[in-house]
Amino acid sequence: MSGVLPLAGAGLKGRRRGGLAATFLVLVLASVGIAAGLVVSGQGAPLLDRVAAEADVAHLVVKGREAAVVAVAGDPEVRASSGPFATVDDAVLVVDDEEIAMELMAVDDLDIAVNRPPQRAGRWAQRPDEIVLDRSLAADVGLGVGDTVTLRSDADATYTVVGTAVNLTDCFYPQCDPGRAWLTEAGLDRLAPGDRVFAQAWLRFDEPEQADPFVQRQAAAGVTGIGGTESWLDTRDDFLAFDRVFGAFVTAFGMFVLVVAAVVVAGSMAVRMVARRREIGLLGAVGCTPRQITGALLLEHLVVGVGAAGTGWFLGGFLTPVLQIGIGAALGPQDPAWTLPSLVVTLAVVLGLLTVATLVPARSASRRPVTDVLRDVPPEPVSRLSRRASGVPRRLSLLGAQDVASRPTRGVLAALAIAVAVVGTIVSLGFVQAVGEVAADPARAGDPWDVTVIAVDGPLDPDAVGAVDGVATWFSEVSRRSTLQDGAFLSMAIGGDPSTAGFRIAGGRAMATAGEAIAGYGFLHRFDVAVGDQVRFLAGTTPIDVTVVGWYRETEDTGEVLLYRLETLTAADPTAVPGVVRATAAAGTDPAALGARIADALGPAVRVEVIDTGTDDLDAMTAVLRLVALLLLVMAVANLLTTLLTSTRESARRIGVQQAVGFTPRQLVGEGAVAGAVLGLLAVVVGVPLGLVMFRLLSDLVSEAVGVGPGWMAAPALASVAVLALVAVAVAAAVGALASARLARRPAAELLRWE
Amino acid sequence: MEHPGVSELLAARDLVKSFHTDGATQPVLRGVSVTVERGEWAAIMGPSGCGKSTLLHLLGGLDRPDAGSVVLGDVDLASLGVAERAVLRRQRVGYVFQQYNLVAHLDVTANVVLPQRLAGTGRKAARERAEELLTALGLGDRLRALPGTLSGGEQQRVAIARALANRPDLLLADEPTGALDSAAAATVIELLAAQHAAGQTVVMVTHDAEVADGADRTIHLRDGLVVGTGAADAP
Repeated sequence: MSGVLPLAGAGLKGRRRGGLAATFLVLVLASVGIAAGLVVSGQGAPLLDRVAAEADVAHLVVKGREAAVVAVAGDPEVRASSGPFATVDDAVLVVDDEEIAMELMAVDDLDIAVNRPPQRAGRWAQRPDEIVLDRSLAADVGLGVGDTVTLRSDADATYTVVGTAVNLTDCFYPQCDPGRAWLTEAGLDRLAPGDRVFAQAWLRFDEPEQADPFVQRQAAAGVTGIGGTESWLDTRDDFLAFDRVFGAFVTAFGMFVLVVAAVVVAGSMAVRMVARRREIGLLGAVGCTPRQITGALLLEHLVVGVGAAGTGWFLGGFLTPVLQIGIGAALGPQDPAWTLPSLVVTLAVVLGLLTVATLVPARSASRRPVTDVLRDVPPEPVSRLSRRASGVPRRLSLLGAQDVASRPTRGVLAALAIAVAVVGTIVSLGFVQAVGEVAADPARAGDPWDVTVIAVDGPLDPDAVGAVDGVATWFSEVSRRSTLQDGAFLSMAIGGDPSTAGFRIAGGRAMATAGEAIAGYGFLHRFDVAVGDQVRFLAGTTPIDVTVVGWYRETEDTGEVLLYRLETLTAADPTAVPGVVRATAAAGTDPAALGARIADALGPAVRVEVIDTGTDDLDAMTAVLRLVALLLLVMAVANLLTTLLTSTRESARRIGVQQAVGFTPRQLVGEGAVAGAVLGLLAVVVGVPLGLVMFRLLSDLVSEAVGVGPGWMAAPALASVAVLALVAVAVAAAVGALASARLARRPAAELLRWE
Repeated sequence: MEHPGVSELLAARDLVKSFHTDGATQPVLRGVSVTVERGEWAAIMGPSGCGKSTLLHLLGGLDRPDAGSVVLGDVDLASLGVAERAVLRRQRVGYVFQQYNLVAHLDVTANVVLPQRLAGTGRKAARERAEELLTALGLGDRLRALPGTLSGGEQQRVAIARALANRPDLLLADEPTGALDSAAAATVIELLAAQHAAGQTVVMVTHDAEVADGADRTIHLRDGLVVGTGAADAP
């Protein structure tokens, strides 16, 4: 190894600082992508579990009449419990004329055994006019410590926000509503004087899996007065649903970043090796062995790689708070994250790629005859492509394309880097488009309604909702936690006319008569049920027999939902009464106006919610998708620029010769633009079809992961793809022109002397 | 094309040129004046680093002097922009370099066709002219070869063919035999002599007195100055 260190040191200190800096920049960008992707992709579950452990999270939340809640909490199977806590679930929070449905819990003292809400700002409520808001709600509506809020229930009352904390009894607002807040007992009295029949308790078992069987046993034992339960496993699944989608996105894009990094590193090293061919030949001429030369180059590049990977990892850490959405954001502001595993993986990936990308061309270059290298004889064999393109083209500007063809390996690597970026951008475009479409048309996600009417005081008359002017269609709903094969899922008995409900049937048909059901994809997948199968399940404690006649698009409970006719339920349980009616607005009717009309018509016995079709909740995700696509594009452009600039010596000689025979600077810049455009065109030809295929594969992977089933997301619009293709070619052409312009402005004599 | 001694083709006056590297200024030409008659073969001689190649680059418009002027025919090169000088080169000047400087990815014929196409010659005519020149220079059997597969002498003959392709007023040759063995060098000099005999104006840089013997006149440079002119064997 003697001589390797001085050679490597000389290489690092050499004159080719520009090329070295460009290579370093590309490696840093690749490392940023890898490191940030690694940190973000695994953020959700560990963060949530850490907070759950901090809170001693409740394995089961039981709501109902206080006496029933106390009785259930006293069951010997319960290891620990907190409560009962008086609860008001018909309150609204008034923010900027908008009413947000609220569940308020009276918790005077945080010294409780189970489910202590982890505080994130301020302090706990101590006085009747103080309130602590769930952090996700506070963040969504823009409230903070010190703000004053008005709550409305039996009475109106004003409170000062003294703190925020993380609510773990349900998933985060607005993904799950209503919003949650905590007050003192006296504080709740100001809003709902004397209303103390409704309460909740937080129970903990030895294992969280005990919660669902416990609920079934309580129901089977005839316990009454329980209005609802939430098991931690279900809630955790809801928490992670959004994170799972995001995780799938990030993982998919992480793959792209890795592929781009591989192509970029290989291309960058190949170009650097070619650019240094003469230097390598000279080292051979003065007596360096091929092994010494290869070792020196490898060492030199590994030093650059360690620096670049470390820098990229460091910079990528700063990006992670920006990329942490979903759970990360809801649990509170996250600090920049630098993890040892991400550093190790980033180093391993970058150095591994560098080693391969250096050894192959370095061995080849160091073994070529010195005289050939010094005479600039092109390596043999000359490619068939370049052999065919050895004539003067019909248009002289195509000489640039010929130049690309004469170095096919480099051309392919540069085009491949752009192609991968094109693929990533197409996938990103498709996902962003799909997110927008789902937000604009909630039926695609299993919510085919504009207005929800919820009974809060006494029974609800669905026909009264249907009679309101402006209601086009409606259906009623009885939701029950249900069990099949010892697994819990959500079943909904649909009343009214389900055929007009607008659920998106993806296979089979809509249910038409009693005894028929349609299922979400997640239900079919989890319970291994197929369209046409007969299913017997327990809706609560009521045995129900149905035939699954179709499946539909549903995102709730990751698609583990079964819809069946209300008549089927009432035949088995005549006491079942719908507590919710969903209505769609007639054409030309504003959903908000319809909601107000229904509220006027039905009075205070109901709460009316208008579906949110805004994309605010998804802005963070689409922003991240765009950011990742931008990172891919920047890497591809930087790689292309590096490829073109690093090969300056060869280009300089060629451009000098062309200047000598009479090419004008404009012609030379045009030639460079054509060379870039050819690379861009190649990238588009490969990248667009590959991108569409990758989008289909990844979108199906994601939609299956969220339980909504394959084929959910439509491919990106043709116009968007066409614009992307044009942009890719134009950017590549501009980069090519830029690289040539740098040389075309120099005197020919200088270029011919270039070493 | 006119014959030797009829009129002045090229006039360079008081050329000054320095190079700037790493903050230091290196004067190369310090007030050089030369004239070349139509049909003349002038050889510029001098030791390494005296400014021969730099002078040739200025005479052909490949570079601009810091001071002084170069007039080719009735055109003052100083009055031309970069693009105009490129057009002038393609129409009126042919270059032969010591290192041949052929376009590596174009075959032999294409290298000779290229300047003609650039000057507006049709594809067929350019190809015919290229093949005619290459055959005359003894390369009729290497028309489709790539430069990298040729010997140095063959590459230099291709370079001469390329330089002559547009029938230039002025042929500039920079150490055309510098990288060749003696047999190949003799062939190249014979070719240049033949072109000169046919009326071609040639300005050749060389440090080899034997090579300069064939020229009508030699111009001796030393330390950036003309130190003598005269017959080929003059000091």
